[in-house]
Amino acid sequence: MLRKRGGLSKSKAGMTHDQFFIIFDLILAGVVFTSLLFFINGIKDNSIFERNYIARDTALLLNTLYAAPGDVSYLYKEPLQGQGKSNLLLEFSQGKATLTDINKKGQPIWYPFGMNKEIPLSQATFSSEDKNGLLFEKSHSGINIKAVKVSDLGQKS
Amino acid sequence: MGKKAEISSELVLAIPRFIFLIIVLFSVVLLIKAFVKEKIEVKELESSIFFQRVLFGKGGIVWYDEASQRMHPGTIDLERFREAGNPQTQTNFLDNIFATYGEGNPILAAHLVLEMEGKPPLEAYYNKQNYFRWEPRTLSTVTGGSASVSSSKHASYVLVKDGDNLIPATLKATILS
Repeated sequence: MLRKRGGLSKSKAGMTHDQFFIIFDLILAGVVFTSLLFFINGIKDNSIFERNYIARDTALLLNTLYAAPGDVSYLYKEPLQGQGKSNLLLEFSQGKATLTDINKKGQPIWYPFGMNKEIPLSQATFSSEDKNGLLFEKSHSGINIKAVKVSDLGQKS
Repeated sequence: MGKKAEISSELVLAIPRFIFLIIVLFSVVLLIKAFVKEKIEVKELESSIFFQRVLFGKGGIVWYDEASQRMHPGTIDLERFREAGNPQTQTNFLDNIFATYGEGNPILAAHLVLEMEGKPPLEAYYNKQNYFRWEPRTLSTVTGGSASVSSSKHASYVLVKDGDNLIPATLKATILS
């Protein structure tokens, strides 16, 4: 017959045996709880959504600028930061908007845009430390992107 | 019951507990993952922007007046449309200059139809090779292909510049992405 586990054991040997199982259960619960906390914390701090979002957003913005028949100036005010204020690096080159998390060194996330070879795009790299806005300027000579301080432009958008 | 038998029976009883624990753990992980949004769907928007780009963008089929150095948005240059629709070539200036997505272009493909009154419709393709490859995959009846490629239809009234004439027409596009 199986004996019920717990603190009701009478014999000395039984006590040791039960204690072993209780300690093992507590360690197991601790390991599970800690790993869950690490998992949730990892999700909280990751910047996959922000990187996906900014890569797509800027790629679509460039497609829209290429679609515009005349000169356009657009101020992009989305901060280059992930959750937990992790700094992101945004790079425009070879038809791709690529986002890298500087702190996490994770895999870069990129999204392509359709380059127009008659409207050259200057290669550029920006990080969250580069002021707080990106100014996209399209003219007959091409598309130029530069980091600007929004306050300097008088909230122009 | 002996001590050894007691321990082994405890271990046997622990197995279902472990299995249950693993199931609970996976359920929690899956539940958390279900609420974490990582992907953003932009196919429809991208198709719409591409159609606007065809209608208004420089270097495409829109009429560019060399004399005044200006574009005429919404006015299609018939000569350039015919050039883009040349059936002899797999790629055209729309692929190589107007909107280049790199080798193989895995993003967009389009079929453009220009309908002018009293004339047979003219056709042109953007990313022709992939258009024919992807088109069957938009159908729900194709095994393994259902919804893997999204298709959207667009249409707009345009003017067609044919020599010195401006002819009212309709530009229709099926864009696969």
